[in-house]
Amino acid sequence: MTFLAKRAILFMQSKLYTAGDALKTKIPEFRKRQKLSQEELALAVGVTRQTITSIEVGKYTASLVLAYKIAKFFDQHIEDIFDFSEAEDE
Amino acid sequence: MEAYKKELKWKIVLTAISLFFIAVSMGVLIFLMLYEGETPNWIKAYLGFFLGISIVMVESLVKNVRAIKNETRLKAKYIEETDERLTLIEHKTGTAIFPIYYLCLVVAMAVAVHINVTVVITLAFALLLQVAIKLIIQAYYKRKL
Repeated sequence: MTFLAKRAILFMQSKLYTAGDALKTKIPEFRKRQKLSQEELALAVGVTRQTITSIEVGKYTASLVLAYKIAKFFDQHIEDIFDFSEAEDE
Repeated sequence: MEAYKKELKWKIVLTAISLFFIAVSMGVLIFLMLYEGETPNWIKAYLGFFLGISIVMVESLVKNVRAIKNETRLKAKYIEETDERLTLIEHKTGTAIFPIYYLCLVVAMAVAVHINVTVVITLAFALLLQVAIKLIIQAYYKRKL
């Protein structure tokens, strides 16, 4: 049951992942690697949990400063966290 | 965070001063009410207005004081007030209001033409004022940004 629920959530997340017009992001992957909740990440970078959710599902594009803060938090470059391929195509 | 704490302290002081003046005004109004014998409508209106404002201000005062005393609450409040997505939502809401407001005023004018010319003129001035305010704000931000 838990497995099915997890699969359903992953499926919904994958659908939501590409639903918006905002940049795609690897934040969920990095969060899971570090076993961090959205709330914890939000508190660390100084935004609300809802903002992290919106960025993760592609509804909202983070500002340059926020993208930098998130990348710095995970000790990565911005382009490792955010996918700019679509922006480059344009 | 220290700068925000200072800002919050200022807000608390200003709210407390405003509340003091509102309380004095309400006291004067109550005195007038007792002095006049029967309560005129304008006193009732002002009392209601001041009461409403003071309730909102007391709520804000309590929230700010609680935030100043607790670091976790302070950070949560700071995040809530500075969150970039919420700020964007506020901006977008503000921008969306104008065209809807214009449309409502134009519709109201069209209806009022059949009822009362004074109302039409008042609505037209309200519309012009809105447009003027929008243009001034736009000009300000075009210079600033």
